Amino acid sequence: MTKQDIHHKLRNLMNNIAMNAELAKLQISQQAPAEKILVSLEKVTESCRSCAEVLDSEPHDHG
Amino acid sequence: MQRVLLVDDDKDFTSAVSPLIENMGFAVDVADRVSEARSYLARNRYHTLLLDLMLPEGSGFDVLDALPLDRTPDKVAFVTGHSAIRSMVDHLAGPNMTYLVKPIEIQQLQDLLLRKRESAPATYERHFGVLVGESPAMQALYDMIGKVAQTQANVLIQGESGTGKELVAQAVHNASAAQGPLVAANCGAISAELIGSELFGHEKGAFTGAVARKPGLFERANEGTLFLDEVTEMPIDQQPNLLRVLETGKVTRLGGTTELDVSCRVVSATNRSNENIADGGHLREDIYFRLAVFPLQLPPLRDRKQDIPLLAQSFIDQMNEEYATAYALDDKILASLQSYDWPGNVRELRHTLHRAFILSDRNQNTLSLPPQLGSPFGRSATTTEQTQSSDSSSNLQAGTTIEAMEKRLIANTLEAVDGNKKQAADMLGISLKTLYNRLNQYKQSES
Repeated sequence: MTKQDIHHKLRNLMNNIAMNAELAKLQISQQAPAEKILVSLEKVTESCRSCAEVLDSEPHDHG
Repeated sequence: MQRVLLVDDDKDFTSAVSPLIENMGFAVDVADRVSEARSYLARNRYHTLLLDLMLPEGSGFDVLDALPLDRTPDKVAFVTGHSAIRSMVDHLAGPNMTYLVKPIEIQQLQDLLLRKRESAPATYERHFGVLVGESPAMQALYDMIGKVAQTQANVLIQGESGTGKELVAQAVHNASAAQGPLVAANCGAISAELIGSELFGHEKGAFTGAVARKPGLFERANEGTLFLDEVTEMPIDQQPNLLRVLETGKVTRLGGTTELDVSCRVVSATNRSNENIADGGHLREDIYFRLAVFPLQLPPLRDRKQDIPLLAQSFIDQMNEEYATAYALDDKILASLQSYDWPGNVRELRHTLHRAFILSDRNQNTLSLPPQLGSPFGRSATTTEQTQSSDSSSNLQAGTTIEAMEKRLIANTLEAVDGNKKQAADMLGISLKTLYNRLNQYKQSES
């Protein structure tokens, strides 16, 4: 992966973290069931794990 | 309700951002590829188009190229993880074109979709994110929605036209633990030939014109909620197929051989009464008991007049937000609104306020209601008198256009059959689709 690819992937993963965290906040304010909120939060932690994997990958910058 | 089209192939993003946008008061359609986005744009007009740059089958620019001239969205925003987007978008003309670089913040979305306004906080609560009203009838409804949402039971919503059946379906979905989307369809607006394909999907080549595999509504609503509006208008010969899916939880696409497991709650709705459903032969008995595990009856607006000020305020707030205005409702207007019976229910109230909003003087911030409340479809004493007099041949005056007479005839026929569109179409000798087209045409010309 090039540095550019890594940046792009990280931006997408961080975006999923931000949006799912916002969704969880909304669900809590609307008194949604706990299972629903947990799924949103699970996606946050899942994206965090994916971020770590991307950061661990070695960049091959051909540019 | 204004619509937003979200075009992005990242499902984790679209599944999270869709409810956030819905919470801002928009309906959201999601497309994950260029062809799907084009198809949505050909059918609907959107307030905002949120567009990913890199898509299966092409790029976001390919979607822009296909924008129909008469359906250009008010705003277009590229949402992408490519930071090079700035230079790309700067080359595009148009003040309504912008970009958001991921990760985006909720405030950026709000700034894009909603105009900022300085107004007092809302004086009403949106129950389950969508329903407004504190009357005893609505409190009882909220109680039932809360209870049924905790189960997987199918729900049949009954109520007069305009009482907000789709919003109640949304409320049931919001209050449930469903992880999938809410998918809505109007059974009365789908032709008899296509309803099987819409509900169950089809394989490529299943019939002439089936150029690609298409998932049906049940598949799209998997793990979520399927809302079938006007379910009693579904052709009776298609109902056994629906029954089979409801009983087995398995669906087979048209032309397919593989059974697919589907799990979704079916919320259906009708404006027919119990007697009419039973005696009219519109719904098979076995289907009825599958769909109406938990029936919900929506009260007409005339039975909850104390909610009119709250509803009116919520509509005016939406319009003020949309047009950056600051209209207010005074006691005289509220008294006038509460003195009318609203045969068209909440929908009629909203349209009346919208009309008043358009006609009012923007410099004074006061709304001007039309001199007389009512609609061609109204059944109040006033409008009935008008309708009766318009029936007489003495009213067929020279100079009346055929179009105006057609509109009056459709209104009178609908009134005679208590709003039943299929029956009205039969009486008028036109197809149900033609009737819907005419009604949409009248609605557009009114707004």
